[in-house]
Amino acid sequence: MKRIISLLIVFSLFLATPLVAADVAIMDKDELKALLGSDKLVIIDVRTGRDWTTSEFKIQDAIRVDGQDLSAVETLPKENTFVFYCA
Amino acid sequence: MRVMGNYFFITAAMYLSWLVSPESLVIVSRAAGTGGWLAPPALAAAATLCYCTAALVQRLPVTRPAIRIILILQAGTDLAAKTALVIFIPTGVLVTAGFTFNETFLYWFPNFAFSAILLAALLILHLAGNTAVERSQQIFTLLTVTCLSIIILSGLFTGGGHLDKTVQMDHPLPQSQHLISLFFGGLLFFLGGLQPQKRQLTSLQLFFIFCGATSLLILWQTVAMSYIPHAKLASSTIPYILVGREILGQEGRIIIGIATISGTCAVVNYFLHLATSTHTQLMGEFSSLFVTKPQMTRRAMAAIFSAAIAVCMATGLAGEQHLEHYIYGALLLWLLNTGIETVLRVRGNHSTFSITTIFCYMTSCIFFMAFIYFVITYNDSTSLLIFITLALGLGSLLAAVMSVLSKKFNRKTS
Repeated sequence: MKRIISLLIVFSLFLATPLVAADVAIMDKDELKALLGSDKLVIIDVRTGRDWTTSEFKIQDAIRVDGQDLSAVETLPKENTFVFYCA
Repeated sequence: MRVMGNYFFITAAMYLSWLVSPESLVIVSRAAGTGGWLAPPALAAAATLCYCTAALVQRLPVTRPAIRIILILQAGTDLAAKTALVIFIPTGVLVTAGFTFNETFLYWFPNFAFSAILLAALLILHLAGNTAVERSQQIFTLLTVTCLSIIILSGLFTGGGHLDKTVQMDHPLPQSQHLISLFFGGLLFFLGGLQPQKRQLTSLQLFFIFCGATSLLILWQTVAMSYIPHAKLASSTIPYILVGREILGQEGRIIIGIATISGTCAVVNYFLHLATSTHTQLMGEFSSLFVTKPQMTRRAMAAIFSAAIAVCMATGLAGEQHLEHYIYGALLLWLLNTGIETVLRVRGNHSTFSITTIFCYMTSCIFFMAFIYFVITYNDSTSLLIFITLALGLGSLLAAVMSVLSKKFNRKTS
């Protein structure tokens, strides 16, 4: 019994790790779909490392920018809607 | 006989797990893309060298150096190599498996949560004991090999490739240097077969494992080159998905998705097994404290390594370019350590020079040359060298601390 409880504790600790990155405003794919085609929409793909390399899907017309250096984004007109795709 | 047969399958499942992991599939596919039809013979040559060496040294135990400082440096290299392998490669492949699950099977399921669940499940297997690890390893590897075989056979027999096989690549390197690069790269796939084992296989059994592994990789390269243009294969970061999708469409994506996830489980399980075994053995050699409870030590080490992988994933290391340096560095440390261990195994067990010893020394020299070649030709040699130096330094420090503590402990208990 003691062993099972220990295993369950270990398991729940691992499941809790995604919560570390949960405090971010999220736009779901339907919201983004509704905006697609708009001239004012700018999708910025800030994925790096494996988040980018191992993903099969790349968003069409998205601009790839280094998340650590957003100076390229600052040059774009501010009235645009910016969607950052990070994971 | 049954025990021996069972051990053959367990060993085969362990050796093959690294070869069929998503990480290896990227390397082997990109090698086919850059090397073209030079890649399969280079891979076969690397496999032949590693098989001959494994057949000669597999019965020999690693004899530790007698001089304490050299012993600490050697143990430090071993610790550094296995620790780097068990932390950084699993961090990378678990994230890959998470993305694959999210993009192939359940779009709504967070990729990070899936990676964490896989890691937790593998830790539970290691906490459950060695039998659970060995049985699950056979299932993971068999499933991966089956999936890859379906793709390969479909590629070979249903319509065949439609690309012009006479197309030659424009290599940035001269052909001879390119061949050497492919040969050295091929060595990285077969290091698992050169690790010291408690139980031994016959040369024929070892031959079947190496032969099967090499055939699988060469057939994969052949199919990949037949269906995907070389340049695309060389530059893709997910060539295995491209190959699966090109050959069998949506079904191919699903089959490759299963292979990626099961291959990830197999390689993480193997590296956890390899690292916990090495650490437990080294700790046992340094202090009698750990000899009495090896299973307990293994479980504790598995929990520590899993926690380290979880921290790497939670802090976003997989999203950083540094992870690629660390993974490459870990593989090179494994290559270096295998070269050193081969020398020690031959030197400690053969007092005179013979064809066997000369051949094994030659193999070690090739491993050391490959290590230097990869460090020099890497696109960020400085970062790589810093990582390797730090890892070796920390490994040696840990070995020195263990040595000092064991001296004190052994004095108290005697």
